Amino acid sequence: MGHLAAFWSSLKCTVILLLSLVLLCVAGTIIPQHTVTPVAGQGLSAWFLARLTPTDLYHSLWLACLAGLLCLNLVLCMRLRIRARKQHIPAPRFGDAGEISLGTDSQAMRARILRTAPRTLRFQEKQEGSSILLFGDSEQVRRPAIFGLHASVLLIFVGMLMSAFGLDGHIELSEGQTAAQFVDAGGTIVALGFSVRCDRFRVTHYDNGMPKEYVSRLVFLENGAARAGGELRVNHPLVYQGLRFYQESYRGQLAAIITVTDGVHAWSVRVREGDELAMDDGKLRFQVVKIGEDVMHMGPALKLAFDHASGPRNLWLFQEVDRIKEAVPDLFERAPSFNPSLIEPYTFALMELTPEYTTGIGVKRDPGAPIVAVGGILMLICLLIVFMVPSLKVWVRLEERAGATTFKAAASRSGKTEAFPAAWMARIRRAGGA
Amino acid sequence: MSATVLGISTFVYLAAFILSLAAARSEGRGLSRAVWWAALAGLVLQSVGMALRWWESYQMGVGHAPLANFYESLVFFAWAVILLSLGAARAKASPILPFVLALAAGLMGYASFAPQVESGIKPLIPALKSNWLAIHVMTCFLGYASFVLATVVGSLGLRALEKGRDAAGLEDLFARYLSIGFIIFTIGIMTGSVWAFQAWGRYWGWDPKETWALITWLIYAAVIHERRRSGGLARRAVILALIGLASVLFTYIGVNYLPGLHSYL
Ligand code: HEM
Repeated sequence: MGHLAAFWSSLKCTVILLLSLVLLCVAGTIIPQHTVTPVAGQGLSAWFLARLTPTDLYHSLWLACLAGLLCLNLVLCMRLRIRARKQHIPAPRFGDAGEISLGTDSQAMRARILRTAPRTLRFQEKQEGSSILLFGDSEQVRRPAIFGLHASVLLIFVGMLMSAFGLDGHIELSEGQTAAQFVDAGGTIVALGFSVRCDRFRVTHYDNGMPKEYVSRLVFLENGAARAGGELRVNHPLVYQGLRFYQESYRGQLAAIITVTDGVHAWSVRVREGDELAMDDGKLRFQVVKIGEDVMHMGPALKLAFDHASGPRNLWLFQEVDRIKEAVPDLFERAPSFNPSLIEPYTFALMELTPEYTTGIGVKRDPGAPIVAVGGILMLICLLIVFMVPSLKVWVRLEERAGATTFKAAASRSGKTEAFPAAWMARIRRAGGA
Repeated sequence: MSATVLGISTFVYLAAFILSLAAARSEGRGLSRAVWWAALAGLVLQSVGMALRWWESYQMGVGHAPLANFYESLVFFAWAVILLSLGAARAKASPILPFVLALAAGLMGYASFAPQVESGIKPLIPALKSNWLAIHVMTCFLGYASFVLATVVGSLGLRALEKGRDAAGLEDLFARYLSIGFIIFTIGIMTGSVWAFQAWGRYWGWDPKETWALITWLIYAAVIHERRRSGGLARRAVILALIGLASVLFTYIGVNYLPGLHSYL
């Protein structure tokens, strides 16, 4: 039992676990990954199976187990470290360090040493007969930082776990369109609790045709009243009611304005490819099959499909149908589907084509992000302390003999015996000269 | 203009490398000092070249720091390796200079002469237009460079130890490059996360480049713990560092052969 506990709190175990994580990540980049969402109601075994497949390693139990074991390893280590905290002054390793005699009393000398000491050292002292033993240790500064460093790893794990309970949705909006819901990652439609409208979408390009920037002008509304808004661009998200909105993508498509008249009434509508329309109290029904800027080299046109009493009919509605007819006088005889009055009693006309954009907006909420951020900052601060503060221990024995104090010192850096820091020695001497 | 200056600095590195081979055979310290100064001259020239390239990008109206494509990253990598080695090399470890000079000359040469490396200044696509671009790329590549140097000094130190020579200086440098690399690379990953959060709304997405950066980070965390455990320049720590180096290379270049979002760098 003791054996097992020793292993799980050992650095050897840490190295093994870190390398196992490495192997899992490598596998994750080689085996194609796609998120598997276990379907509710299929039972526990289906859930387990989904969580063990090698094609969704980053959400798998394998990763969770490794992370859990690493946390166990960490916690055990940290617990041992706290226990090991209360320490005695380790035996000084004076070795062959020479003695230096300085002409002051030992108390003044002690004060001088402490005053000039590197600020990362914490001191303990012990009276040994007539001499004083001073022990300075930077581990007292490094150890809490090492503790904080490893605690930050735990904190980041916790944050990442919480992020799994966030929100990741998407909204598609055309200019002028309003949405009150979004589609989440699993394809479910979720209400926003307010609505969002895209007033304008703009794409700019560099001279070489690469996209330079795309911007959606958004307005957030509650009960129809505008509450907030702003320009949404890549790298500049907007936040409203705890949700973050991201400019993700866009699609450009053509819209057409057509007019229809039956000789008495006239209607004008804006249509897009795929639209299905019903007009004149439902007597006229058609679908917009295609919108083209240059159809058959004869300019802008629409292809409309009708469900006519005599079977399906197509109408090719050219904007410049009059000009085409001038060139080909018997056009409607040769190609009846070019005739704007094909579907009686209506006459169609294509007024204009306008480009229309649909903007793709990401909707996100991530409850773990602040915790990961705190963990990250803690990690950085602690890393800086751990690596910038050298692991230094010093022992100084002061002994008063016949009015003079002898000074004997030893030091170790990262566990290796070293000479007493020369710069500090110089400071001690200088402080005495004053 | 910038291309010319960068080209000259490439040849300075190459010349310094050849000089360093001669210095390794000579007894006196004069020659190795000359190598150090030659490397510094190359670094200064290269810095000028990079600054010029930055300025030129503004002249072209696409202004951005020269850290935005494969060519620019190769150049910065070479710069970082030389920068980080010079401080240490003067005092303690001129044996690393031949390695870093060869590496820098190689990186620069590859950047300029390999036909598949596009060296023109290009405007930035919207996703790259962020203040995080420069800091993220710089920290990642300074981290990579530091890991490369840690691995080089670690290997040299281990060889010295095995031949019974003193390796205290190299051992000290091994620890130092590991810590510098680990701190800077940690900052690199974190700035990347913050940027991803800004651009895409998630700080971590298991994109292959992200995952490989994590792999590299984990390997060097293992190196750091192994070094602690075995107390310094142990064979196992150095072997792990070598695996880490392979991982750095894969994170930088290999990943581009996997599908992902980072395919531009
Ligand atoms: C990704 C996770 C981890 C990171 C980034 C990390 C990082 C570090 C760093 C930077 C050091 C300082 C090394 C030095 O001063 O040379 C360190 C030391 C240490 N780590 Fe970790 N560590 C991680 C996980 C763990 C785990 C899971 C354990 C569990 C046992 C652990 C135990 C230790 C111990 C015992 C030390 C030595 C502390 C000392 O010198 O007194 N670490 N770690």
